[in-house]
Amino acid sequence: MKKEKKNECLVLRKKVATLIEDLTSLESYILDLFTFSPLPICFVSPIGVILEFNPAFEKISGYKFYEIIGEGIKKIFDEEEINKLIKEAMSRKEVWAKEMVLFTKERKEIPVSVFAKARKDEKGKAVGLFVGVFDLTEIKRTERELEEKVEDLEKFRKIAVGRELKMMELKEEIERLRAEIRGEPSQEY
Amino acid sequence: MTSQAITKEIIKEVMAVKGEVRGIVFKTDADFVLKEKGKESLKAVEEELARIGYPINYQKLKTMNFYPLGVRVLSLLVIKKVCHFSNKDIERMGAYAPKASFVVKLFARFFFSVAKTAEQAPKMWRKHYTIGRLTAESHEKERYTVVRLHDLTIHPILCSYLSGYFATIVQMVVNAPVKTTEIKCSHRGDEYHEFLMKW
Repeated sequence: MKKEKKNECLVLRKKVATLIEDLTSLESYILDLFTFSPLPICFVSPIGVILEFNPAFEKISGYKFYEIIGEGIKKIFDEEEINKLIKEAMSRKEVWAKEMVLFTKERKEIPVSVFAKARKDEKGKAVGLFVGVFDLTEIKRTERELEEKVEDLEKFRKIAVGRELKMMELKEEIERLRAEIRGEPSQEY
Repeated sequence: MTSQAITKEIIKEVMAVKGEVRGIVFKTDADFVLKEKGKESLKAVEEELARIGYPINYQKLKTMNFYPLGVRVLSLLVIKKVCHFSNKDIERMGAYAPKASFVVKLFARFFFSVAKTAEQAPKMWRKHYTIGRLTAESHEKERYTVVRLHDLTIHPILCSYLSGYFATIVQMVVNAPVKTTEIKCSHRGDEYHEFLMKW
């Protein structure tokens, strides 16, 4: 009986050791994935407190995780806009590509596209949300450059068309003068 | 006082306390030393721990494994000594820990109300320590909470550390700066440790 108990205990210990090993591997996997992600991701509580912040978010915002965890997300987004987004994500469970402005630690403004998804507990209640952002700086710059080019082309087109019209006017004037020299009656148009 | 001699008596006393703690706490301590003092200091901490007979390789510790609580307290004492930390620095170290702890993240889903977090406090403690019992009272409307730690008297350095630790947890819930005061302490003859946190 005693031996049986001892064996049972040994089996239990082995099971616990295996579980701890699995948990450690899982933790390491999650951490590696979170650290690797080139996209800024954070986890926010339902009242808007940042609870997790990955290295890509540190890079874009200029905040170290230990400076921003425990702070309100309104520190990096416009308060009204982010409250609206939290509300939307918590009720609709997902917000996709909402254009917003991210404020860095140096108060620089970065245009971003924001994605948010509520995290639910086992009863289906939203207990926080994942927030991911996509930096739109390059896209906005390209957009601006394209707009400028279109504007330039438009100006050029106007100049070119104007020049063409002027040429036609001049041609007509020359023709009219030639006719006058030749003594032909002038043509009224 | 920024450092304190770690005498044989102190080592014997802290090592006599039974109980274990999860490896994650060593990891967050090491992270804090790296952030504040750099690699050389962490190496010096490891060397000092080896010198007093309790070698630790912070890198190799497993976050989810359990290690003797006494060793953890020695680790704190050695960090304080080698890095010339004050009690306030140890409090800052405690405040840093929940931000970097994976175990705390498991409870993040309860961080939407002080009452809910207070309800989870004993479980949160048990996920880290096999000794001691944590209870918490929520007074959300009055903007304060009280945390009591029963059945654990090991070394006052843990009180400084926990002051910072609990403050960050509450800050994560209330989204406001939190001030912690240890109003009762078993090292001062009280029955338990009592931390008052106001925001």
